[in-house]
Amino acid sequence: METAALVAVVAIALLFDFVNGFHDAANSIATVVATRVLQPWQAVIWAAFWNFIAFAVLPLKVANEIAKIIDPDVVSIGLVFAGLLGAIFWSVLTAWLGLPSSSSHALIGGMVGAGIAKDGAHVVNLAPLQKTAVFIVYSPLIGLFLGFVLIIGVMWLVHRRRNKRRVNRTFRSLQLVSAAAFSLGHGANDAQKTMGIIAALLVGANKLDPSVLTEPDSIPLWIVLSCHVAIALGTMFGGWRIVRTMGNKLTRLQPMGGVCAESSAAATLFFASFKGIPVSTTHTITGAIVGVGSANRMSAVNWNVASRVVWAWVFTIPGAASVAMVSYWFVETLSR
Amino acid sequence: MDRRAVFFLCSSVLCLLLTFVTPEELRWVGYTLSVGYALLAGASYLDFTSRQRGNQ
Repeated sequence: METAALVAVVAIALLFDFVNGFHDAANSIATVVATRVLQPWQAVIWAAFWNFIAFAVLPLKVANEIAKIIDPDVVSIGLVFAGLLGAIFWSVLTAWLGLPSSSSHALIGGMVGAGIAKDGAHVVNLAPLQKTAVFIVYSPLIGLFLGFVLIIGVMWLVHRRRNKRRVNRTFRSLQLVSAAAFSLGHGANDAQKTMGIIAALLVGANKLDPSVLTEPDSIPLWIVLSCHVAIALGTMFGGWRIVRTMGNKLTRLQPMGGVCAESSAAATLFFASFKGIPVSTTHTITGAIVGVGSANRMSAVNWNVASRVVWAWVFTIPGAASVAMVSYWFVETLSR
Repeated sequence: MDRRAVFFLCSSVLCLLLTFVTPEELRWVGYTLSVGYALLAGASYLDFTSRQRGNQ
């Protein structure tokens, strides 16, 4: 019975990872499709490939940080199930309300809420949570800063070129590289969050040695591969529904702007992955797009959409935590 | 008033304030961003005033 429950919760975690890829696919491929550098089917395969291959390129430090957020001694199947329920419910609710919330923050909030509901606030490990909390603000600001500086630098470099068609062609090609880099960063940072949750669950169920939570790159390969396959499949399926993308909603991007925004967001994600900091890929690319858009004029940015992102920042962790707390008490009552 | 300069200045102050709650090994991120945004605010303000003069 316990093994069946364990397998079911691992499957739900992988489903969450799949939905994460599905939800964020548009961020990775919107600009390459909008500028017709790639056909939609080519773009989703391109992004999914880089999502998958990320495990071989970037370290697994984010997974270790996520796995340590709740004291491993109190992690149970019910706790992880409630945490995932909180994250899924919050993500669906905000998607329905049209708020661009982060599924990564929802997952962290869900785990914290379920942990508090089980054994009180002392089970929450504050060090990784503090890092995550400050980077909710830092990551879009880094993306914005890099996006602004990069687009100004690039505009300064190309403004004397008379052959505008050639410049445009160069940036259309460069979009392939920037989209690949962003997909790599997205695959690394987001797939590792689910990896961390699964590792914590298996340690809590005595199926894994607790050393995997502290030693970098020690998470079993089957967990690593299954998480990357799930996010890559999510990207492949999610990419097909590109109708209104974040890129077009916030500000209208040209190939040059697309390259700068994606490169800036990718650099931020690489930095976060190397430092083991879980960040939201959606918020990072949003910051970079705002940075690129505001290089021309502030009115080029749709500040209504940007302010909705800020509200989503503020409410996601406490919102998902509250839902997870209620879910945990419900699961506990049912299992008695 | 240059809205962009004000936005960058606010971001600079926010990053500086955040350093108080940032883990010690990552405080340099907040300091670097704060200085970077302050420089962008200055540059944006100078750009705004030179455009204003050009328009007059």
